[in-house]
Amino acid sequence: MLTSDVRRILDGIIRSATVDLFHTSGIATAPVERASSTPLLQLLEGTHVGLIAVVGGGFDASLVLSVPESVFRMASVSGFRPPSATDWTLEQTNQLFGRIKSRLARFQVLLRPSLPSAPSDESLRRLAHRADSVLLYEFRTLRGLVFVAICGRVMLEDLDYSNRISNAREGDVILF
Amino acid sequence: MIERPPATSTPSFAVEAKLPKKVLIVDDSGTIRQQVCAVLSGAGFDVIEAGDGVAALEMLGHHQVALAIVDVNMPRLDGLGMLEQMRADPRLTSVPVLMLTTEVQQSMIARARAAGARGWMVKPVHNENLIQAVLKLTGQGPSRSS
Repeated sequence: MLTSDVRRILDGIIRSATVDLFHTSGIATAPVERASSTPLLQLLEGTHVGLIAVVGGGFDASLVLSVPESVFRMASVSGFRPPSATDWTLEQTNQLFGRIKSRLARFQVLLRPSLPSAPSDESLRRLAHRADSVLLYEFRTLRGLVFVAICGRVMLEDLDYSNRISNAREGDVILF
Repeated sequence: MIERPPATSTPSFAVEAKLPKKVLIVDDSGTIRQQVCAVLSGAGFDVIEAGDGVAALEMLGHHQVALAIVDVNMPRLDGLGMLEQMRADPRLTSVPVLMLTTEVQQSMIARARAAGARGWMVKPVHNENLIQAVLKLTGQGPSRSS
């Protein structure tokens, strides 16, 4: 269950994390305020998909990232072309989860992930069928749409921000 | 019997200085391995790669490296497990390890530090930061890049 306040915060976290992430790969993305009403499976068809199972902090869900080939072709990792779309999508999913996790940690929501995987059509079908709910986020790019979905159960009734948590930030280098 | 060449007066450190230092990158993402290989090769390092902790430990049995850059979340053997095994092995205990990960929690960083890591780098990798950290941890200081 998500209250409207919690949903608003979660939406902001996922949208900002996704925009920041794709920016590091040289891809400009803009969130679409009203995401598509098309069924998730249809949206993912023919795209590169990465999935991470997420538990803890009120989550028993999967984070799904969908990138079409046309968007992958724009990707550049620090000036280098990624070796494969599947591998790049999995790493994007991993880094997207990392960003969401670190932002939610400031609200004392501690998530535990699985390793990222490229789900088969069958496991995506099972996931979509089983999921209690799907939070769907849509992003426009110059060459197509990117989708992020949280499929499963998210039980967050309250989010309490704290600036006392001094975690590292994306891109930090700490030498001991 | 092996015939050895006559000893020269060249100090050993001068010979070593001409050899590129070898760095091992361990990450299950080919994208990250490729990026780190390209950046460090361009900076004059000899880079070898492994896809998980088990493969990396096997490689370390055959290669002498100046630094290992190690992802935290990997299949088979994760980065912290690999670090612990390196520190328990007298042949590998002195190899500096730089963790490379999306994890940002202080508790994880403290755990890696206590286990003997020399640094913690949060993805995404910024090329210049990577080079500076590697130069420092391989004892070449920041002046080499200038």
